[in-house]
Amino acid sequence: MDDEFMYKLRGTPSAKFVDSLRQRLGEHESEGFEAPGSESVLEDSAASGFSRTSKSTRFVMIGAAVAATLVLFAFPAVRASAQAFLNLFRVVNFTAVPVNVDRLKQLGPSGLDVRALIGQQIEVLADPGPPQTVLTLGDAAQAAGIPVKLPSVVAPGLVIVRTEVEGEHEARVIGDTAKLTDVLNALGITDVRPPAGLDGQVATVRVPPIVRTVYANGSQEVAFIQARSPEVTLPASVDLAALGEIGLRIVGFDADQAHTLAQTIDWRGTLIVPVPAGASSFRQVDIHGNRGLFVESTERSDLKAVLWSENGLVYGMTGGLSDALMLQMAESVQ
Amino acid sequence: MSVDKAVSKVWPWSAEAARIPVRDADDWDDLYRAQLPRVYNFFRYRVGCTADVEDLTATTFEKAWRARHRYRHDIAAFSTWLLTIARRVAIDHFRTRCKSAPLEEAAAVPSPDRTPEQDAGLRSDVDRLAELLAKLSPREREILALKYGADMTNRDIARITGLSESNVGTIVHRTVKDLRARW
Repeated sequence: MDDEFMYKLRGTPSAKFVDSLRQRLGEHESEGFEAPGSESVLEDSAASGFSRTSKSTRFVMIGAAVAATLVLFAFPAVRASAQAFLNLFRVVNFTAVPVNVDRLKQLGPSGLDVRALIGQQIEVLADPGPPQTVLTLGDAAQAAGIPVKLPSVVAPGLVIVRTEVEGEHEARVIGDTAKLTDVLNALGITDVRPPAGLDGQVATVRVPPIVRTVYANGSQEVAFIQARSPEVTLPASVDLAALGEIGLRIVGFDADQAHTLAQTIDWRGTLIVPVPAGASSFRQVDIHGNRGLFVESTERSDLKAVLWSENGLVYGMTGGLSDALMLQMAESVQ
Repeated sequence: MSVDKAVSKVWPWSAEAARIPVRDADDWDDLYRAQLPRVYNFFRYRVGCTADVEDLTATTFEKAWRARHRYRHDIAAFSTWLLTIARRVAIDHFRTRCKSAPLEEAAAVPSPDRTPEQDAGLRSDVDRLAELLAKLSPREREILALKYGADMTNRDIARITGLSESNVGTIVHRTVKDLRARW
């Protein structure tokens, strides 16, 4: 396509403008970041919530939240609602999103319950039941339909105690604008509304079989999980960014932050990993040249996880090894 | 230092790490000088008014600077994040102004490197293109501003606008073809 003429409008900012703006920004440098009061609802309300909660309650609550989160993103046994949330994407990347636990508690005892978020019209199409223990990796590969891999480097003392395969799950989710609006109202979010046309839209969620290999050394356990990427089929008219923005608001992001994040996240390829704000830390890691995510509880040393995807497969390792050992094991998967 | 390295050093991705005050002015300078022309030209295509272009560019960088702790390089390239802010600044601009900028102001800034004849010719091309762009729908104009002003790929434009990559490609191709016919 001949589009050379399209570049005719490009110009160069004048040196005077460049220098004056740089100088103006320099004056802001002494101001530092935005004042804490203007930061995300997430951080503010988390802090204030903790101050109103007894220490023991807080510990239990955060501990439970951390455990629930780690279990959630470690692809556990069937939890239809959680899976519906997690698998609205074909996983290419992982992104951690700090979640305000106090805020989610406003949604009721079920916490992060997708049934409450997107309606109760979740129809389970395939439920394989509890994971089945297999005797060999060959059996696991055959059952899951994937080339099963293992880490070649294993922490001293760890041995494989079992390998299990969880069968394929499939569910159909039907959008419910009224229910989602109720959730927003319950959280006092009035400036965003569900995108038009969501009602009656059908999403089909498919989670391929998951192979879980469990290592143990005494009471210490490390689990290595592998599966094909979950897939979701959505009508093209569904505005994922708009839905994502609502999701970010629900978990505690302020309006600006939610909008900016929603517009920059690749919703079709990024698995959002909710982590409890203030009780966990996360960072990007590189596994075989793929962008992965390392998450750990700041309150319990045995809750860590590495997640990455490679060639259409999703891998996860959870346990309480040192950061270096966790990453070394992950790097050695072949 | 590469832009990416400067970004990761100056605009840390985690909220915790981002609380560390920025010290390295050289990194920020690299970043600023690398990205300023993209934002500036985005507004030239999007708004088409020299005075407003500078104001809007400045507003974008000031917003970005204040919100720099929110930038997450695990989610998007810095330029994508910056252009997301610029896009919102443009939307706010149109919301408050409710009018297009005068086309004649969109002419190229005279350059000491060009002869008066060259300046006149360039100004003519600039005027013509600005006039054609002004007749486009807001969505078409925005996409072309991201493509030709900010130098973004169709994939990045898709991420910012929420359209599919193929849809962006189709809109760019169709719109440029139409403009070309009228050029």
